[in-house]
Amino acid sequence: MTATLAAAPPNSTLEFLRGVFREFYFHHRATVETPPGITEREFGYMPFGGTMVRHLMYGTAGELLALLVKEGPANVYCSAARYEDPTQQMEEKGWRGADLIFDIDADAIPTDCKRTHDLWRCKACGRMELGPRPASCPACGSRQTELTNLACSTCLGAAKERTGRLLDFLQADFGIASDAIAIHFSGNIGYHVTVADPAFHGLDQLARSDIADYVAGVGLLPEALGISRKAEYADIERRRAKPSEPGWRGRMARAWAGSPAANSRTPQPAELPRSYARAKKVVEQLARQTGVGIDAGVTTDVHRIFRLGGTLHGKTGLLKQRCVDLAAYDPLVEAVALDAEPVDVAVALAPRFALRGQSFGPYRSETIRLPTHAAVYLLARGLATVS
Amino acid sequence: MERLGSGLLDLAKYPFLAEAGDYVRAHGLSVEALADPEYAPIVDRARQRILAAARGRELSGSPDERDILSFPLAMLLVKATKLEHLAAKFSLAEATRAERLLAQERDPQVLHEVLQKVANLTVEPVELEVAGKRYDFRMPMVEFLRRAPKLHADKWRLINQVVVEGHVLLMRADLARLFREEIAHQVQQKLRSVSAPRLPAVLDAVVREIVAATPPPPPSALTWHRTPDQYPPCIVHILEKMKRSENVAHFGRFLHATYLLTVGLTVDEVLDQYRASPDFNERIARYQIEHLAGLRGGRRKYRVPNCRTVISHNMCFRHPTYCYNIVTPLQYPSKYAKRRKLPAREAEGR
Repeated sequence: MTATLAAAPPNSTLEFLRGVFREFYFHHRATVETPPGITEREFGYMPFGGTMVRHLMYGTAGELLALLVKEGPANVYCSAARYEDPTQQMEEKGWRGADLIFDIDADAIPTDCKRTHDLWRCKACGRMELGPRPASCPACGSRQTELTNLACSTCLGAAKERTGRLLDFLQADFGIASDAIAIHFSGNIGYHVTVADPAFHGLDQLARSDIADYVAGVGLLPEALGISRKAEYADIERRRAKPSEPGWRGRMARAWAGSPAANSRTPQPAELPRSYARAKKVVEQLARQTGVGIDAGVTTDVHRIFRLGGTLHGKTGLLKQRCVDLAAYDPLVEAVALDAEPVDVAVALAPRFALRGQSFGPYRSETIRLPTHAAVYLLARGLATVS
Repeated sequence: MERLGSGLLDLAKYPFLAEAGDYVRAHGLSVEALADPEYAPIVDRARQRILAAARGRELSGSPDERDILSFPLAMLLVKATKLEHLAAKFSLAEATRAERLLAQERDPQVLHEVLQKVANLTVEPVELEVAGKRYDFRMPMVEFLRRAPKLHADKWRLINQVVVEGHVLLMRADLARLFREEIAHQVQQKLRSVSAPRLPAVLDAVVREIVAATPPPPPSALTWHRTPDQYPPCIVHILEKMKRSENVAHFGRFLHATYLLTVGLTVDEVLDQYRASPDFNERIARYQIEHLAGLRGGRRKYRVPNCRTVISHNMCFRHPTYCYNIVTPLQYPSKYAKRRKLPAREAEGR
């Protein structure tokens, strides 16, 4: 049997989700984080089934909480930037600076598990299937398809590993104190890192783009590693980076030492890339592998409104939650904030997934009873409706 | 070497500093007095300063005490010419000269003090050798990032620096280069604040000579090209993906739409190119394109991202020749025409 689903969830499902979110905010007011300098921040929210509302300002945490309890929005955002007047249009807000932010998403990491839990939907006929998105819908031939990324402990673990490596850049290279860095599970498929060090606040888009490239390993020149167009082998040997060096030189030396080519034996002069162009390519590739893949658009956008810490994600019902101990953090357990009250839902299609240590699914065109947190996980993604 | 403020040689090297102005004021010289033949060497030096700048050359000869006076006099003469482009050239020439002198400073303290006065920035002297290069200073990474990205060259990217615990190691010459624009800006500000005085006949003649010898500003080389065969490879790549009905990431759409709107396509023409997209929704796409065109929301027309940003988003497919040394995809058509030796008008009409 083929699973199909309407393009937009029915009103009953949207109302149910809104009610669950409102109740959560009513009972968990202390969970919602209050950003420093709240009156200088722009807020925005996305109602269930509605469009973005932004350019809002709240004088106190209480005003913000009142909105959350009243509206039960799907997503709540707060600017990384501070403004003279956050309620004005962008050009008139009076930009005062912005936190430095990073977004690491599991969907950008090529893990094998995606085949088992990602699914696509045809916008024309509503057909849904597990696996990678086809070029066109096999049922109706339409090319208008969309992909829904789900996450499992494997891909979230890969995102966590990247987040750990990002911290090394921020602390060892950029000298940022650990208490100025906040790590959050995004509530969906990745992690957000916020640097609240005032030294970085005034940096413009170009400077932030340079920071994004630095952590992602984009643009590293062979010259930085001692390889130039005219260098003799002896020069290259003398200038070669050592694993103990700080910054990118040490990082590349360690990456090279750990690569299969270098592990077998010490490379001989003849094995060195024969030309500068070849060396450039090798350096570029190794640097990209060694860097941390981040969403550069998030880091460089000085006006970005970013999901507010301690609020629920409208696509999962999971919490954007601060991770104090990243190594021990398990998002699919700790960020499950909604209760376990049973709910009957009609599931169109869902892969196997796990929340709070309990395994669910796979489901296909069936009505089942699920705890609220698992029901919301499917309802919010449009994979099920309230029955 | 004597410290700034007391050493005349230092004031001669860096006459744009406030201390040099104080020195001149302390001598109480009037413009009329400078017409005296006694000051002819200073007038001549000021003339040389400006003519060298107008021709894009550097002032010859080592700095000497004449320069403390020849600089403010040169500013008065530039102001009197009323040539805006000469003022810009003069500021840049003075900054380039200061950069060269800073790079040659043996005493790190002088460099440190000049930068402190120009940019209110403290750089720390260090003595470190990395990869066969000797580093003389370290500066806070954030201060580096305020300046280096504007130089638009790969060697200035943060990733190509030695970055340690929030500081960037720099060689003397590179440190001096980082501040060229700030020095030029400072000279330009000084020029703006100077009011054009009535000059004695001798100096008036010098002004006329300078005006006659200053080449006119070059015509704007920026011409927009809207023919697809001259789109840069990044835009071509996006167009091809669209033709194949492949999904184009948000940034790609932003780049594509801002580029085409800037080179003169209408909102409808841009919209047509999105019709094959897998998630095409005319209402949303039109709204977004109109927003980028400055017709909606804050009425701000969005600019085309520069090449650095395109590279960061992994959407650069640079052509080795036509993309060489360009900083924005908008420069591609001119480069293409130039390298293929097409007259600009022919290239435009193809």
